[in-house]
Amino acid sequence: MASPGKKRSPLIALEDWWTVWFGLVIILVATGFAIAHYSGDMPLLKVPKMGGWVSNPTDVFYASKKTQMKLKEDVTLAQLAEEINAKKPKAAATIVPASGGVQLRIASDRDGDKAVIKVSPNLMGGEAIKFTKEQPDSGGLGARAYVSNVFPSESVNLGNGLFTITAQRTNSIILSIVIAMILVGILTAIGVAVMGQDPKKYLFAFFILVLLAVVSYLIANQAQIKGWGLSYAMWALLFGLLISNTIGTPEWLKPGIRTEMYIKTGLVLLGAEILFGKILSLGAPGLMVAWIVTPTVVIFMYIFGVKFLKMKSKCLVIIIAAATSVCGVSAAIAAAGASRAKKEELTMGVGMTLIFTVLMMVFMPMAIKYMGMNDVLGAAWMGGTIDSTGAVVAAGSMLGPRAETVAAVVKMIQNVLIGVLGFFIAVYWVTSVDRDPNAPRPSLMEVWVRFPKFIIGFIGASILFSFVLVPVFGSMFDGDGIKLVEKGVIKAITNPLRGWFFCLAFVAIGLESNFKELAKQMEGGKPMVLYVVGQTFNLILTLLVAWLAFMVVFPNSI
Amino acid sequence: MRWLRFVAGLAVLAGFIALLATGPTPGAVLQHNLDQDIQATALFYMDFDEMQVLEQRLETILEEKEQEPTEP
Repeated sequence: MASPGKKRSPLIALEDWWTVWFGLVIILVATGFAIAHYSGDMPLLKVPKMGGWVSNPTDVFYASKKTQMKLKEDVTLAQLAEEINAKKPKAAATIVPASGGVQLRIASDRDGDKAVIKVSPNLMGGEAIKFTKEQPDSGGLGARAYVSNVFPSESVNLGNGLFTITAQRTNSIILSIVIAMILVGILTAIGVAVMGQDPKKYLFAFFILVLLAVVSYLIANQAQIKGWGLSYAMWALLFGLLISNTIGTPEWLKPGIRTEMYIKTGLVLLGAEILFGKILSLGAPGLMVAWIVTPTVVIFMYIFGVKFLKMKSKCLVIIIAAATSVCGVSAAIAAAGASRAKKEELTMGVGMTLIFTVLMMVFMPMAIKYMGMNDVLGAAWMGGTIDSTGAVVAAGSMLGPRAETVAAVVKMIQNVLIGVLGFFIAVYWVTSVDRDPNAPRPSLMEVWVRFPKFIIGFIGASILFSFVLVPVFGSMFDGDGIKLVEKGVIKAITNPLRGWFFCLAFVAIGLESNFKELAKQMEGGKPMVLYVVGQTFNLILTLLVAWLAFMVVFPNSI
Repeated sequence: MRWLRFVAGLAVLAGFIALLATGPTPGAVLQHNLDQDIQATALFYMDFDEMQVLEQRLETILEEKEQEPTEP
C-alpha cells in the first residue's frame, strides 16, 4: 500500500505507466518463449484463442489444429489427396465419384458430432478448386465434410500454392486460458496494489469480468454470428450495459472495472502488431490508397465535425473519424485512448462503426458487381473503406481470390497507420485541444507531463517489433523475420492477450455506462451525420485514388 | 423491479442472439461467409487467421505478374 505523505515516482504511481510495464512484461516473456522455441529448447507456448462453434457452445473451449501444406510443384487431384493423407491433419481425403466426374471429399477422421474441419484452398496456376460444406445429415447435425467442385478426372492439374485444413475441437484449452487469466490477473493486481488499491478486491472482480468476457467471446464465435461480422466488442458492451442499466453494477464488481487500464494495456500490445515492414506489400498503389486517403479523410471529418457540425465533443469527432478512415473498432479504441475520451464517446463510435461495417460488407460487393467494376479496383475500394479487416476479407472474397487478396492487403497497410494516428492525436490533444486558449504556448516539459504515457509503449512496441525484433529474429534463426515474429510472439501470445484486454475493456465500459449518458452523446443525430458524410467522402476519394493508383498510374501492378 | 427489468433485458438479448445464430441470413455475402467459414469478426489484420495465406497468395500473384512478358 502507498504510504501517505511520501512523493512517489510517476513511473509507479500513474496507471498510464503501469500499462506500459504490463505490456512490456508480456512482450518480453513472449519474446523469451519464442527464442527458446526457435532455438529448439521447448515447444511453442501459446495463449489459445477461443474456438468456433455451430450448434454446441462447448466447442469454444477446444483448440483447433491447423495443417498448412506448401505445395511448390503443381499437383493433380489424386496427388493432393495423397499429400493431405500423408500430413495426417486429423482429416482424411478421398476421391469420390460424382455426376460428370470425380470430387475430392475431405472429412474429419474422428468419430462423433464434435469433429469439425475447415478447408482453405489457395492453389493457383491450374484448374480452380473450391470446396463447399457437405449438406448436414437428416439428424440436423452440422456439416462434417467438405466436397470440392466436380472435375472430369483425378489427373486434372490444380496448380500449386497453399492448402490449409483446420481440424476443430482437438484438445481442451480451458486449463491454458485459466492459467493465462490467472497470470494476467496477478500481473495487473501487482500494479493495482502499488497504485494503492486493494489487490484482493480487484482480483475477485477481475475474474468475474473474465467470465463475462468468456460469454462475449462464446457468442461472437458462433458460426452464423461470426458470418454477420458482429465481434466480441459488441456483445461485451451489451452485457455490461444490460447489468448496469437494470440491476446496477454491484459494488463488489467496481474494483475490477478499470477500463482505461485494460484499453491502454491492450493498445501497448496492439503496438506489437503494427509492423512497418508490411506497408510496401502491395507496392506504390497500395500505399497510395491506404496512406493518402486515410489522413485526408481523418482531417476532413475532424474539420467537418468541429467547424460545420459544431459537435461539443472533439474526442467523439476524432473517434468517429479514426474508426471510419482507418480500421473501425481498433482505431476507435486507439483514438479514444490518445484523446482521453469518455467511455460513452467510445461506445458511441464503436456502435456506429459496427453497424455500418455490416451494411457495407453486404452492399459494397453487390454494388461493385452491379457496376461491372474491375475486381482489383473494387477490392482496393473496399479495402480502403470498409472498417474492419474481417468484413473487408468477406466482401473481397465475393469478387474472387485476387480481389480478396488485394482488399485484405490494402486494409492491412491501412491498419499500420493506427500507430501514427494514435501518436499524432495524442500530440495534437496535448498541444492544442486540451490547452487553455488564453494560456501561453506550453513548454516541452508541460507537453511531456500531460502526454499520455501509454502512447510511448504503443509506439515503442511497434518500433521494437518492426525495427529490432524482426531483423534480429531473421538473422538469428535464418528465416523471414516477420513470419517468425508473427508466429512465435504475436500470434502465440501478444495478440490473444490483446483481445482479452479489449474484451475486458468493453465489458467494463458497458458496466460503467448508462443509457441517459449515451443519449446525451447523440446531440440531435450529429454523430450519425458526421459518420455518413465522412464515409461518403471516404467512398468517393478512395474510389478516385484507387482508380488513379491501380488503373492509371500503375495499371499493370497486379 | 430491477431484477424484472434485468430478466426482461436478458430475454430480449437471448432472443436477438438466437435470431442471429439460427435465423435467416439475407444477402449473398452472409451466406458466402457461412459457406466459406470466413472470420468476418476480425477487428485487426492480425486477428484474421488466414492473413499469412493471403499475403503468400499476393506474393505469388506479384511473382507471376513479373514473369509475364511485357508488351513491346
